[in-house]
Amino acid sequence: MKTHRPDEPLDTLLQELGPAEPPADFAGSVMSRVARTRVQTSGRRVIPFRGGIGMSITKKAMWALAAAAAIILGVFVARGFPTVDRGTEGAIGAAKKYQAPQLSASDVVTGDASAQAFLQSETFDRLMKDPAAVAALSSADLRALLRDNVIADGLRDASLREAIRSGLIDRVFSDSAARAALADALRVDMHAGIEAAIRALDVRADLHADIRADLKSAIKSDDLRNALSSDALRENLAKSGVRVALARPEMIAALNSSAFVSALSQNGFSSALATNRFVSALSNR
Amino acid sequence: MSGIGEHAANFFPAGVYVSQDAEDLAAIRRCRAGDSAGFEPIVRRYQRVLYTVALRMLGNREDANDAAQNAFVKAYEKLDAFDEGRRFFSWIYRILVNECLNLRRDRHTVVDITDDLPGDRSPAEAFEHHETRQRVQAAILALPLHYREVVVLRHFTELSYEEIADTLGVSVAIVKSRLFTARQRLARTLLQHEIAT
Repeated sequence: MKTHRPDEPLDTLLQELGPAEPPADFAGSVMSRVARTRVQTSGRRVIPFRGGIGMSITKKAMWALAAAAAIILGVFVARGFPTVDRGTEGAIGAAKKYQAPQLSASDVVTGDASAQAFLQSETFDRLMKDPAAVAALSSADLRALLRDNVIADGLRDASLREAIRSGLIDRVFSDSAARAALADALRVDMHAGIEAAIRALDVRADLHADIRADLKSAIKSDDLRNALSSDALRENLAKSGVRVALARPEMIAALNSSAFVSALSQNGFSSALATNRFVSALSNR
Repeated sequence: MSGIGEHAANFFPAGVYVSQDAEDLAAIRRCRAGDSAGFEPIVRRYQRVLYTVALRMLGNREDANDAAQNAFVKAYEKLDAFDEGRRFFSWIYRILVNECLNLRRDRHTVVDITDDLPGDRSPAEAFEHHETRQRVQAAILALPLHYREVVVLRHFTELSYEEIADTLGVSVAIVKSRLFTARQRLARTLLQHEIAT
């Protein structure tokens, strides 16, 4: 084992580990296995489209449906939309009350492939069978919160989840002096280490004793300190709406759920929350 | 469609970089048409990077070999599901990570880095070097998956931040944030083992 050599940077250590060469017969082994396998064609026929790029029958059907919808819309625009029958106006009004916000173009595009992968995973199945997770995710507000990558990423950290459950996050981030002290302590830690950061907290006169204890606890925890070193996460936690949502009982219960925590660790989870399939799966529970 | 991009040279011998995506698509279409030999260029193109990723994710050559081979075979079996609008590497990478997770669940991880040691080291230096590499690999394995992924993709495949973000399906900001935290954790772990950072 090496002795302490402060001149050896992390990059050098990682570089020394470097890329690796697969065994000499790697490609041959794969190809012999491939030769015994058949590509799954799902019985779909591929037909030429746009100069040779293949398009399946499924895609053709989607285009046909889109064309039919456009024609129907055109007819409605030309002739006027059908009138609503008497007695149903109130029902439409009530339904609108619970409509989720419209998705933006970026919501739909970003992470779409990973969302599809998540929706087809065992993790998603487990999530939908977990009562605590379903209860939390049935709230459109909480789904919107979890679609924020910064929040979802932060919640992957066990120490942050525990800090939310214990109320530490709410206590610290609802106090402007505590937020400033935390930011200062994190900066001191980066340059002078944890002990100096603790001392910086000790000398601040604007902190209540219990808040000071909370901050010291946060700074002393490697994991929580790392999680809170994200400026973007701290900015989010400083918002009262975010803290209120995170402190809701169904959210706290979900944070205790292994299915929910597993889902958080999947890259497609946040973007999957915006899909119709996710919402309809919840409504079927 | 952008490909592995300007870092493609990391995966292949120098001087062979030519429109990787067009070649990938041509090979994939050959396979879809029933010509399994069309898959060989894909395997040869991505074997090094996938094996390296698997090795750093698993810490064991035998497991890495299994995971990378399984990923290629499963990718071949599911080629029909591959969306030509996506990058092939991003797609097969997810398959590989699932294979790695399955292997880690099934087997007890033993860090076994037995790469060839440079010949210009004394036995003592070689031993020290080997020990250090094992410590670094163990520190990588100790990272939670979402941190391990960014470290492996950034340091062992040298993908750009944008390519890593695309591969993982997250924003560039998240990639940078995770990499920052992951490197802090690595540094702290290595310092605890008296390996300087």
